[in-house]
Formats: sequence, C-alpha cells, structure tokens
Amino acid sequence: MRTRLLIPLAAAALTGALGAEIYLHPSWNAKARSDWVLCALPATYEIAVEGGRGGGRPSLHRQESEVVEAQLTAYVVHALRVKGWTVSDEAFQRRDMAEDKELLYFVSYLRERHATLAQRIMTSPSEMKAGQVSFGEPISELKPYTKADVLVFVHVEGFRYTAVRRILSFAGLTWRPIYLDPDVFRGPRVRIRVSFVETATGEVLCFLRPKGTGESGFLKDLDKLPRGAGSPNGRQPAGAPR
Amino acid sequence: MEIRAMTWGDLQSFVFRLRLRQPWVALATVMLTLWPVAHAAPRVQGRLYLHPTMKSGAKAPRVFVLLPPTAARTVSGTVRVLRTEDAADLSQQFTKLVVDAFAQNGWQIDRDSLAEQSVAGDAKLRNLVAFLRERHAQMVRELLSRPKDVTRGKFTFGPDVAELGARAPADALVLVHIDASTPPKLGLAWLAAGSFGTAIPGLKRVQWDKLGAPQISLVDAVSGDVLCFIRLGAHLPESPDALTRVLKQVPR
Repeated sequence: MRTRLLIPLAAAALTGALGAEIYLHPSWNAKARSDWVLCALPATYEIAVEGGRGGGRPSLHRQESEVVEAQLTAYVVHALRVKGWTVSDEAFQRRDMAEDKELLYFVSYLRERHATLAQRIMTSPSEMKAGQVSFGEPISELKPYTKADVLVFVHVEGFRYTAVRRILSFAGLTWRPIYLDPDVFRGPRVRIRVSFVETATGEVLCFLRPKGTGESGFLKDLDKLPRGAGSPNGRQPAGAPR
Repeated sequence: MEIRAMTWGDLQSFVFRLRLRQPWVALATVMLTLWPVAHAAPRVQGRLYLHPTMKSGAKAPRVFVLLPPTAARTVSGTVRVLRTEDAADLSQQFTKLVVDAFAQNGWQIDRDSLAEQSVAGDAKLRNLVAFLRERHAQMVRELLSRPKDVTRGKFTFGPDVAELGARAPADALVLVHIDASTPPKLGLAWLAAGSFGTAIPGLKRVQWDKLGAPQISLVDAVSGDVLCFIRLGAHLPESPDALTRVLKQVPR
C-alpha cells in the first residue's frame, strides 16, 4: 500500500523537478494570440569552462562569438517556428546593424537590460507573476525597426568541462582556455532562458526557464507554454522550416 | 650482502614495481608531485600589457573616466545566477576599489559622468555605454586568450568611443570586467560534491563579494585603441594594493 502511494508521489516530485518553469504575466492569457508575429533579438550567452585557478573563464573569439550568437538565435527561431509560432526574419544581427549605429547601441542596451531582468525574474519570480517586470518606455524606440508584436530575448547558460580539465583543475594547474564549439549549446549542460516582451508596452509577458537541458529539453518545454484561445498549439504553419 | 651502484635496469625495475606503467598510477603520481609545486609557486599579482604608444611614452593619459563595471558569474562545476543585488554590490565595490587605486597613483578619475544614474536621462549616451560595456565583456575573452596582442596594438574599440569621449572629457576610458568565480578551495568542494553540490546548503551561499579578479582596460578616448590591459591575478577585495602596485608600472 505504501509503495503504491510512494511511487506516484515520487514520480510527481520528479516530474515537477524536471518540468519547465514558466512565469507568466497576469495578462498573458488575455493577450496571447496565435497570430502574433515574434522577433528574436541576438542571443546572449554565458559559458563556464571548468578548470584553472579561480574557476573557469569563458573563451571565445569575437568572430566566433558572433557565430555563436547567430546560431543560437537561429536555433531558437527554428524551435519556435516548429512549435507553430510566426517569427519574422528581422534578426538584428550585428552585420545587419553595421550601418545603423544607433540601432546597434540600442540593441546592446536592450540585451544588457534583459540579462538584468532575467536575473531579477529568476531570483524573485513573484515579481514577474505580479506583472512588475518591464523594460519600460524605452522599448518603444524599436518600433520603427520592427513590425513584430512581441520581442523574444534569449539568454543561454552553458557549462563545459572535460575529464582531463577536471583532473588538472583538481591538481591546481592552470589550463589554457579552450575554444568552444558552438555545438556545445546543443549539449546536455545548457540552459536556455527565453522572454517574450510586448513591443508596445515593454512588459515581460512570459519568462520561460526550462529545467530540461539542451535542444530536446527546450523543445519539450516549449510545448508547455499556453498559447491563449484559438492558438494552433503545436501545429506547424505552412512554409515553416522543419 | 652485495652492495653495488644502481644501474638503469635497477631503476626500470623499481619503476615497474611501483606500477607506474599503469596510467592511473602515473597520473596520480604526476598530480601528487605537481600539486605542491603549483601551490607553492608565488602568485602573480597582476600583469600589464601596454600599447606601443604607451610603452614609447607617446601617449600618457592622465584624466580618466570610469564606465560601470560588468560582472561575469561562473562557478567551477556549475553555472549559477548572480543575483541582481549581488551584481550591483559587486559593481559598486569594484568601482570604489578601482577609483581608490587610480587616485593613489595621482590620476584623476571621474566615476560619475557615465554612471548608470547619470546616463539614464540621455538615451543615446545610455545605449552607447551599454554597447561599449558589452563589447568590452566580449573583448576580455580575446584579451585573456592573446594578451600580447595588446602590445602589438591589435585591439581597438574603433571610432565609436570618440562620441563618448566628447560627452565625458577624458584622455582615456576605464573599462572593468569582473570574473566573479569561486576560489579554488571552494572549487574543490564543488568538485567533491559534484553536481549534487547545489543541494548542499553550506555551499549554496557563495560569497560573491570576496571573489573577483578584475580585468581592466584603458581605452584611448579618441581612437578607441586599447592602451593598456591589466590582468589582475589577485582577488582585489582581498588585496586592494595589488592594483595600485600594477598601476605604478604604467609609464607616465
């Protein structure tokens, strides 16, 4: 009898522990529309590399980091499209913004602001659930550049180590930084944080913090995001890449 | 009992008996030998890399303006979130330490003109500061990988900086990036605990304020060239004089 009780309880606890954490703005259900046009900004990322004195240090060349940013963004855009969202092609990549410095600076500001807000949401989710987290007025400055209803901010946290690196770290030896393979982001030690921000008001409508890791974890957790009334809910729209 | 000198064969046989040919024994032996050596070595307080114009004395900035420091947060063994207030505290604490070190070297440093509160009202300036901070945080990765390229004058922020120089008059900008990473000892504890370390309450509270080895770049306010890159080996809050000592090496 006890076993019969314990197994479902343990399973429920495990599922709860592994499931996505979705923080929704109180007005999400009222505002969420299936025909929303989303626009993803270049992803920010943070990678910890095991080893060396004083902990790991990220080590990417600038060119590589731009590649990683573009790849991460493309990957999230693809995942959103697979799940039925309409995502515009405006990507605000650095090379696209090279001509327009004002836009480049503004996108930098927004990305930095998102990193701060993401920390705030993760440490005090109640603020998010109470609808108190917002980019504020400045986000409306992006309106001339995009027709999207919602901006998607992506922050990726990853961790990489090798067995050799771990042993050397244990021995207290400094280890030269390694150059990361962008594919590491699809690996098991990656956490993807996604925010949906309303372009008109700057309010963070949804913060998705999947507990599942890597590509499959993110795709699974994206399913749990409520879409509001009349949404296609996972149906692939015509023309979306597979 | 026969006494004779040790031959090469004897040594080989001794090593064989020690089972050093087995890889894990060999690895353990190397680790046990090198560990005390690595920890006994004197710790480098900081390294300074100078742009050719600084080294030759053609440029000698005297008036500086500080941008709000950026902080990366890495923990050996896992990725953790640095709480917003922690990041703000860390930024404030390092601002004070850096300003003090510059003042002790007789340099004038402006910490207020480009502070977050000061630029909040000016959207253009606010965005530019955010761009430069982000750019520096990315450039630090390159600077750490190839610091000697600073001495060849290869790193530059480009002419974007000039606009900032016009708003906050200074010879050079001071950009600070803090690696708020756990110290090695705590790293070992994390290592021992493995990924379950997060479940141990004692380890969960990482004292961020005691951490952080900053990387500091002095950037020409006109050309955007990285004039000087300082890679501090010591944790600044623990040894605040380390930066002062390193700054003394900058030619005037």
